[in-house]
Amino acid sequence: MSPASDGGLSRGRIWQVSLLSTLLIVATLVAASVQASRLFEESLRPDLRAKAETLAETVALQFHRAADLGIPVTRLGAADAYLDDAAAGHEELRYIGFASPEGRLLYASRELKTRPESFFDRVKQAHGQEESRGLARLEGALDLAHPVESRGRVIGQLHLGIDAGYVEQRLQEIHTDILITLFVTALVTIEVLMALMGLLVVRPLRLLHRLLALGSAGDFTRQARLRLHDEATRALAAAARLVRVLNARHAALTERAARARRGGRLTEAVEQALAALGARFRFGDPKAPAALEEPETGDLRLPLFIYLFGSELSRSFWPLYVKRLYQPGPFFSESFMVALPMSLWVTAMVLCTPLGGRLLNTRGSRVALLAGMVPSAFGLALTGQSSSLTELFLWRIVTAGGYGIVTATALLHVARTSKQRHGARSMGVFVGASTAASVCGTAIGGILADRIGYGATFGVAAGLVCLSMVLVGLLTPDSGPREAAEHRPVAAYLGILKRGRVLLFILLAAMPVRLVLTGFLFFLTPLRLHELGFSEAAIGRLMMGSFIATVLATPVVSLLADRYGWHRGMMLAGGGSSGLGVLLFASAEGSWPLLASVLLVGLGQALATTPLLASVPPLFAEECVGFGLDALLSVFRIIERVGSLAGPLLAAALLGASGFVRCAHAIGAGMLVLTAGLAAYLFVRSLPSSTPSPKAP
Amino acid sequence: MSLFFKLGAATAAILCFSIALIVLLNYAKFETTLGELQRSRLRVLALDAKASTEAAIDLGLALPAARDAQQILTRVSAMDPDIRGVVILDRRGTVLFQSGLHATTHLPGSARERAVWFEEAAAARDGTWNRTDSTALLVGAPILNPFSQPVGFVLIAYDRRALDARAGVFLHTFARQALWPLACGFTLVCALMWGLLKPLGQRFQAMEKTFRGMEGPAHAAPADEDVRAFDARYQEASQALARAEQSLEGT
Repeated sequence: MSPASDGGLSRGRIWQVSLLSTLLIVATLVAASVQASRLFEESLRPDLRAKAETLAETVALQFHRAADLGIPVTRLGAADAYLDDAAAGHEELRYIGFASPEGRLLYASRELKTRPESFFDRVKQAHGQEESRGLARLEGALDLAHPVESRGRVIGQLHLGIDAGYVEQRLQEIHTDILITLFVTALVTIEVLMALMGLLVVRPLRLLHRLLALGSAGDFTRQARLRLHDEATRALAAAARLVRVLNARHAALTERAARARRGGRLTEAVEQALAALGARFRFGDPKAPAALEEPETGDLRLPLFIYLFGSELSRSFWPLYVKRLYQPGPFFSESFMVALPMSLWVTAMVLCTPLGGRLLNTRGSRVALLAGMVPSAFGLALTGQSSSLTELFLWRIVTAGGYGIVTATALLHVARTSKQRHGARSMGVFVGASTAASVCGTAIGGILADRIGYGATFGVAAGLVCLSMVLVGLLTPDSGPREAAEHRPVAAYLGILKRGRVLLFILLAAMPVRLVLTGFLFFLTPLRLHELGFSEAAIGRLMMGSFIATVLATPVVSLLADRYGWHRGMMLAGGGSSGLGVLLFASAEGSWPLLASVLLVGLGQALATTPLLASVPPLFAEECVGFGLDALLSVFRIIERVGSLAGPLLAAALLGASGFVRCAHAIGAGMLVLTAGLAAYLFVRSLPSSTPSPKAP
Repeated sequence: MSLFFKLGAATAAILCFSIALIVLLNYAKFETTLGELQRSRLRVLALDAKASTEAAIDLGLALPAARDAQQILTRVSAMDPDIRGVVILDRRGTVLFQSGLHATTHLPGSARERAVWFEEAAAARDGTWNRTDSTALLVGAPILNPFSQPVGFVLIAYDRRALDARAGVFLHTFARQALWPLACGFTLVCALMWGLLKPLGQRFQAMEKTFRGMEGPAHAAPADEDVRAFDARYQEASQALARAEQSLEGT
C-alpha cells in the first residue's frame, strides 16, 4: 500500500464509513420511532376513552335530572344547543348525540346533524361488532355509547364521537421533532466520523508520506509525536523508529568524533567521511527532534463543530428567554431590552476578537481556544440560571467574549494552515462547521427548550462547550507561539472610509443583509412566532429552514456567480428575496406561508452575501491597489458587524413604536428600497467614467 | 486500541445518544399529552361542578348557604380515585366546602395564593383555570352568582403522582422496546466497522511489518515505490554511518 497514493483510498473509505454508519443509525432510530408511535397510541387510548366517559357522565346527568323531574326525554327543548355547548372546547371530540332506547337519534350536536341519516344507522351497526365494550370504530372516529338511566331504567343512550386522528395528530408533532432529530443526528454522525477518520487514518497516512518523502531526500531530522495508539500510528512509529536509530547512531558518531578531535586523533580521512555524510544526509537531534506534524485545518473541525453547536442551541428561543426575565421599568421598553443583549453579544464579540489573535500569537492555538471556551461554558451555564436581566446581560457578554476569541482563533488557525494550497476548501472547514452547527443547534435547541426548559437547555449548551474543550485538549496539536502578523495601519481603514463610493456600496450591499439577519431573523421571528402560538420546537424548526436554505443555496450561488459572472445580479436578487420574505412574513399566519417567507430570507442571505466579497476587487480595483485587499475586506467586515449590532436595536425601536406588522413592513420595504438603491449604484458604476476619481495612496 | 475499536466506539456512542434523545423526546411528548388530556378531563368535571353549584345558588342564596354543594363535591370527587380533593373557595381563598380526606391538609397553596388563583380564574377567557405544581394538577372554574359576578371558585386537585406513574410506565416500556433496535443497530454498526476498518488496519499492520523488516540487514525490497525509495536511502545512510563508524574506530 502506498502512503502516497492512499489519499484517494482513504477519502473513499472515509465516505464509506461515514455514510454507511449514518444510514445504519438513521435506520435504527426510525425503527425505534415506529415502536414509539405504536406504544404512544396504545398508551393514550384508555385516557381518551376515560375523558369521553367523564364527559358522557356529566352530559347524562342533565338528561337523568330532566327524567327525574318527569320531563319525557323526547320533549327536551334546548337539548341540541346543550349538546353543542358540551361538545365545544374538546378538540378530540367530534360529536355528541342522544338516542332513544329504541335507537332513534333524538338530539345531536351540530357536527352530527350535518351527517347523513345513514351515518347513525352505521353507528348502530358498528356497535354490533364493537371492539370493546361500548366503543366502536367508524369512519375515523371511535363512537362511545353511554347508557343514560333514570329510576332504574334506561331512558336513552349518549353517543360520543372521539376523533381517532387526535392521537395521530399528537404523533405527527412528535414525528416532526423526530425527523429533525434524525436529520441532526445524521449531520452530527457525518461530522464526527469524518473528523475521526481524518484524525485516525488520513493524518497518520499524511505524516507517513511526509516522513518517507523527507527520508528519500536524505532528510532524517523530523520525528512524529505519537499520542494515539492504533494500527496506523504503530506503522508510523515503526517508520519513525528507523529514523530515530539513524539519528542516535549519528549523534553517537558525532560525539566520538568530537572526543577524537579534542584528543588530536582524528585523521583527515575520517574528517572527509564525516563531511561527506553531512553533505549527503541530514540528521536530527535524537533528544529533541524537529516535529514532523504541521498544524492542519482539519484538527479543529470536530471541536469547533461541537463548540458552535452548543453556542447555537439558544438561537431559536433567545428573545423569548430574555422576554421572560423582563420587568417593566421607567426607562426602556420591553422590545429594546429584549434586543439589547443581541447587540451586546456582537459588541463583546467584536471587542474580544483581537484577543484571539494575540493569544494565538503568544500562547499557541490550544491555549487560545481554551481561553475562549472557558468563559463561554461559564457564561452559558450561568445564563441559564440568571434571575434578572442584569445577570443575563453580564453572562451574555462573558459568553460572547469567549465566542469572539474562539472564532477569531479558529479563523486565523485556518488561514495559517491553508496558506499554500486549497485555501477555499480549508476555509470550508470553518464555514461547514458553523453552518452545520447553526442548523443542528437551532433545531435541537428549540426542541430541548420545549421539552426540558430553558435553564436545562443552557446547561446542555455549556456541557457541549466543555466537551469541545476536552476535544481541543485531546485532538488539537498546539501550533505554538508565532511572530505577530504585520499590524495593519488604521490610516488605511480611515482612508477607505473616506471614499464615498466604497462606503455607499457597503451601506447598500453589506449592511442591510446583516440588519435583516439579526434584526428580523434572530430577533423578530421568534417573538412573532411565539405570539402566533408556535412552541419553541416549532420556532426552531421554522428558523432551521432558513439556515438550510442558506446552506443549500450557497454552493449553487457561488458556482453560478463565478461561472457566468452574475455577482451583481445575485446580490440584487438576494436583496429582493430578503425584502419579499420579510414582507410575506408580516402578513403570513399559517405554517407554510411562514416557512416560505423564512426560506426566502435564507435564500436572500445566500444570494446577497456569497458574491459580495468576490465583487469587491473588480468594483474597487483602485482602492485594492492603494490600500490593499485585506484592509478593504476588513472594513467590509467591520461595517457588516455594525449592521449586526444595529439590527436588533432598530427592529426593537420599530416594534415598540408601531407593532410587529408595521415593523416587518418597514424592514421589508426598507430592504427593497436599499436594493433598488444598490441597483442604481451598480448601474451608475457600470457607465464609463468621465471624471477621474481621487487617487488612492 | 485498534481503529475498529475507536471508530466503532464513537459510532456506538452516537447511536446510544440518539436513541436516548428519541426516548426522551417521546417521553416528554407523552407526558405533555397525558397532562393535557387529564387537564381537559378535569375541566369537564370542574365545569360540571360549577354548573351544579350555580344552579344551587340560582335562587339568590349566598354561596356558603348552598345546600347541595357538599353533595356535588362528593359526586365529582368519586369520579376518579386519583382526585385528591375538590373544594369550593370564596374570593379570599377560604375553603367553604370540601371533599376528600386530604382536601384541606393537602390542598396546595396558602389562602392568599388561592385568592390570587380566584382572581386569575375569574379573568380566564375560557372559563377555567389550571396550574401544575410538583404534587398536583389543579383545575378550577369560577362560580358566578345570578348577576354573573364571581363569588367562589371550584378547585379540583388531582394527584400528580398518578400521572408521573403513567408516564414512568411509558418510559420504561419504551426504553425496554428501544433496546431491540439499539442492539440490532449496535451489532450492525460493529459489523460494518469491522468490515470496513479491518482491511485498513491489516494494511497498516503490513506497513508496520515492512518498516520493522528494514531494521535487519537482509530483507526483501518493499513492493511500494515510495517505501522502496525510502528504504534505499535509509540503507545508504545506514551504510554511510557504518563506514564512518568503522573509519573512526580505526583511528
